[in-house]
Amino acid sequence: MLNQRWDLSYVKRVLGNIQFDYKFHFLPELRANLNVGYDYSDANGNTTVLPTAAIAYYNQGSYRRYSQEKKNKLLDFYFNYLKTFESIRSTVDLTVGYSYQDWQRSEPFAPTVYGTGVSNPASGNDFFTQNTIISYFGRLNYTFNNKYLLTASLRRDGSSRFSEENRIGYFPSVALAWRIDQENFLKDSKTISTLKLRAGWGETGQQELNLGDYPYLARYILSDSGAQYQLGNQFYNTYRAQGYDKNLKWETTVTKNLGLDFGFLNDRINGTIDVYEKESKDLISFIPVPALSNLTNYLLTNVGDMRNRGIEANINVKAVDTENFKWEFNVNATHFRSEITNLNSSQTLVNTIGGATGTTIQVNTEGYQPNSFYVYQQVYDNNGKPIEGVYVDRNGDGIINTDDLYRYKSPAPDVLLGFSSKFNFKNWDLGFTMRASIGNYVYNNVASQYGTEQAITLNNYLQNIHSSYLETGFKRTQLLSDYYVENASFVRMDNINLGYNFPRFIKDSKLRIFGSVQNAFIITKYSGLDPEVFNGIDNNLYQRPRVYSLGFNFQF
Amino acid sequence: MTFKYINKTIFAAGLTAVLFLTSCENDLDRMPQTEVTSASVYADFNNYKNVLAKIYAGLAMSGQNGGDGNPDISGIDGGTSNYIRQYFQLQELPTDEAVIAWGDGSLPDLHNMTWSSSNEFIAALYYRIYYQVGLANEFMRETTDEKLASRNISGANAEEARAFRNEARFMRALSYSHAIDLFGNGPFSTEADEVGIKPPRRIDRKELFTYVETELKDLEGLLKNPRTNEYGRADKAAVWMLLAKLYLNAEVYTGQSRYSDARIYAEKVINAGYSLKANYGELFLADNNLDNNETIFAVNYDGLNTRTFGGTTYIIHASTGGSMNPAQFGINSGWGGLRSTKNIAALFPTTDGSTDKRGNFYTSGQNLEINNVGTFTDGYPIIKFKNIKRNGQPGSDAAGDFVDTDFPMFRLAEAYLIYAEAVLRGGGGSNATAIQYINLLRQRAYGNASGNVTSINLDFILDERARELSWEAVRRTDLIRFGKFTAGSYLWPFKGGVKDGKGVEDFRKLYPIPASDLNANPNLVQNPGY
Repeated sequence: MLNQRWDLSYVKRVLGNIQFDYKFHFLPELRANLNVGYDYSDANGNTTVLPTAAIAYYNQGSYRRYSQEKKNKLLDFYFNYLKTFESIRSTVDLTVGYSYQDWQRSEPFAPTVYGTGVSNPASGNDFFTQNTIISYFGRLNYTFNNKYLLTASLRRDGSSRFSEENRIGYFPSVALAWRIDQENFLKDSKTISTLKLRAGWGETGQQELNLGDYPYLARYILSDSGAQYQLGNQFYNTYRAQGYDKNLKWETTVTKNLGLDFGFLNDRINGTIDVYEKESKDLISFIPVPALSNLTNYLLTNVGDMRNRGIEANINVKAVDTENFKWEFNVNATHFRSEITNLNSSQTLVNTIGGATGTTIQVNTEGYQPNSFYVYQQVYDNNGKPIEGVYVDRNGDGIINTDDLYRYKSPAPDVLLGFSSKFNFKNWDLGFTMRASIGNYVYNNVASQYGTEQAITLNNYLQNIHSSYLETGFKRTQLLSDYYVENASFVRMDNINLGYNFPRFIKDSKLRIFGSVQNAFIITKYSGLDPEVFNGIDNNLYQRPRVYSLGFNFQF
Repeated sequence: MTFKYINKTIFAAGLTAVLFLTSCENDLDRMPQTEVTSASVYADFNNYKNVLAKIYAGLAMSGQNGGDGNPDISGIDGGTSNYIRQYFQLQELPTDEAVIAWGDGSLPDLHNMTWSSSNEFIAALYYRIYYQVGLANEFMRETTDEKLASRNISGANAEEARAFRNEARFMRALSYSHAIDLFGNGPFSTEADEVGIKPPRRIDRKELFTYVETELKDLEGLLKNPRTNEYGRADKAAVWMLLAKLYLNAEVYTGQSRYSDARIYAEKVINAGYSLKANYGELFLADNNLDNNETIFAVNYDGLNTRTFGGTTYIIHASTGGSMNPAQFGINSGWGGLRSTKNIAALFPTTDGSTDKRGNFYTSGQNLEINNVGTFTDGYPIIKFKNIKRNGQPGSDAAGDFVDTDFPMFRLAEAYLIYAEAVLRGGGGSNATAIQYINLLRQRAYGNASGNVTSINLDFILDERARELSWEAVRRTDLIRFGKFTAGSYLWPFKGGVKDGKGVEDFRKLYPIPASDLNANPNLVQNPGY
């Protein structure tokens, strides 16, 4: 069966840039820089299925040839003025610039041709998309007395993805820093080697949509030849109106942060602490809109606002630093919490799951964490076994319906921790990196979809089902039960590596032998394959591999 | 270099830069090339028919690519969001006319009549209905007299555009009429409203009925005369038929009965020049678009050009399984899903179609009794829709995936039945004529006068409708009208999820508004009981 299908693809890519830097004679502190880049890729491929393959039996085999062309252009130009004014003990670093970026992708119509000679479809649309960003920016870095720093910047970005009224966004920022360790009272301190206080405020814009480059325009798309409609004696390709939001605009995020960099004992212990708050307005998302409000049921639009607050701390310690033995380690911790502060609709059901078409498992509601799980509360019997189809009637009205769904946990963790360490003993080195996530929850869609009696004979052949059936005994899928929302906190050893250096292997050449394990182990209570699931919905059927490697590095 | 020279150079460079930069600013006006902007579509009159075709195709197809690719509706699998497929499922599965063996998602809830507002099949049809209304509204917005004039479309083209606009208006009324029947109340908007994200207002069943009635009465004078329009397009007869059906069910929809209006409009259809096809079976074959003077309005399919896994492809594949030979139905495989119940089989004198040709069931290897809904061999599939032509040859798709068979939305036979029922319910007219019309149907079914009747009553009409219109997506509406849909007085296998059937809650006469739209639109109110 493996030899009955051939999939070949070729990609040619040219990627390069030229940069010119020019210092003005009459004003040496001023310099101009021009950077021009071009990225061109031409891909093509073909897929052949032999007529002996079961899947191609009726069509006597198939062949499809496809191609894609991408052209990305970049032009960056800026002036930079850097001067130190000794008299006022200031350094001024001013940059003013312009940037032009353009992305273009085209894929000609590529039908599948069957062995019977039929082309599926007979005709269709070539695909082409393009978007452009044009920006003007300026930044000022001002340092006074090498102790007080100010950075201010402003960007004016224009994106072709929004209408003329909405396409320009202005994004300013300002940041201050105070190098306390340079102050007279700390300058000669032996214990405190670094101490810097930072504060910043800035606004950025987001327009990465991943859903088309023309979302604000009223567009029509022509059907391909397999989707024509007969009127009279003729078949007509149909023109479909696409959903659009003419008021789509930039998603903006205002970030405020306050941070402290510190270092003790000549930076043998150093680290940072940061507190931040990000407020995003006019989040762009693809959401279900009210039926009849637009030309389709899901639309890319600005949906609301979200706030994310957090604190991050990071510390590096060179615990031991002798000639034969060194040990340094790093510990970091992050805590953050997101909350939806404003939503245009009352709440939005998001993220469909496998096992049923169109069923959603998460919800975005004003005042709650985004992507909170929206499930029924399962009722258990005295032995702790869930009773199929029986849920808590949370509003006490005697019926179990969607009014009894509740928000239970979310995929976001309460705390993220990291710990890494490196030991050096003579010519040996040993290092490892660990990560932990506490309080993140995952919906086990593999168990909910396949852990039922119904799944054994869903089609007219026997299938394997998930082992959760042994605990639940569910006959039919209970996709919305909170039984499947599991605590996926974990501690993971990302990698362990061990190496040995031969300093004088053969004459003056060096040899290093190293071995490492990626994904060494994970400690978790989660019953699925891997608790690290991006959006909290686990459809993973394959384990993350553990990779053992052995390497040699030879220098001569 | 002198300063003057430097100044001039800088000045020249600066000017060039400014010119260069401002011209680049226009690059932010990117226009699509695969898709076409609305403005350019409507600027050329030749495109108008293609937009109209989409409004008609919205009933048949799921998207813009054959095989359900590029679907119209997101969040739901393409094949599932097909209009005719879900209309069939929501009108047939919760009745005695159909059971389905598959257990995907909440599908079993339909026959068991235990569905909830998160049922994806109900949501699929709901979004489809309003998708159609939205498409029609948009086309009507772009084809007003002012817009046509501003685009320099005049004369014969303008007349044609107005005709298209009226047909789009009919399609909107058709989908709204499905909304009245299935959901009762829901969102409402017309071509006067803008496209955006604002939640539309709510309309209740009575008000929507009055709106659709007014629209259709207006269209009665605007659409083309019966049998003069192209195949697949709406005409006056389609308007009359839709009005007749609305009036027949008016007591259910509004509480006020309109049986005499139902009779009047049925008569209009009957006198429009249609005639029953001599061979009943030919109405549901692959070439049922040819030599067909009975079908008033059909949803068209084609194995090469209108390819979807919904529609009649679904009906034919799904009702094939067990020991049935798929090639006899013009397809490559059966999906082993749909059968009917013993209630329907009992309506006919025999189950092999020998006496009453409409009573044609597949019985070999099948049990009449349904012990397990999930077993295809329990229950007799109705042999009706086939992808075979009159000459016995299969449809045009050599691979046997997609069928050519069109789905008859309205046909003359139903007009006869509406007339007879309206007469019996006090809508005036002549009892003798009613019996005459019924006998036309029976003669066509029996091939001779042996099946003719001399008197009729309402129970007979309900049964005759099942005999004539089985699997044509009318059963649920009929059972509700006759008070047998939810009541415990009329049972069928696995009604209510119980083997011998049981009565279900009365609120199930209306489907629930999907939870996702209740969340998105605060103006909507859920139907009682959900």
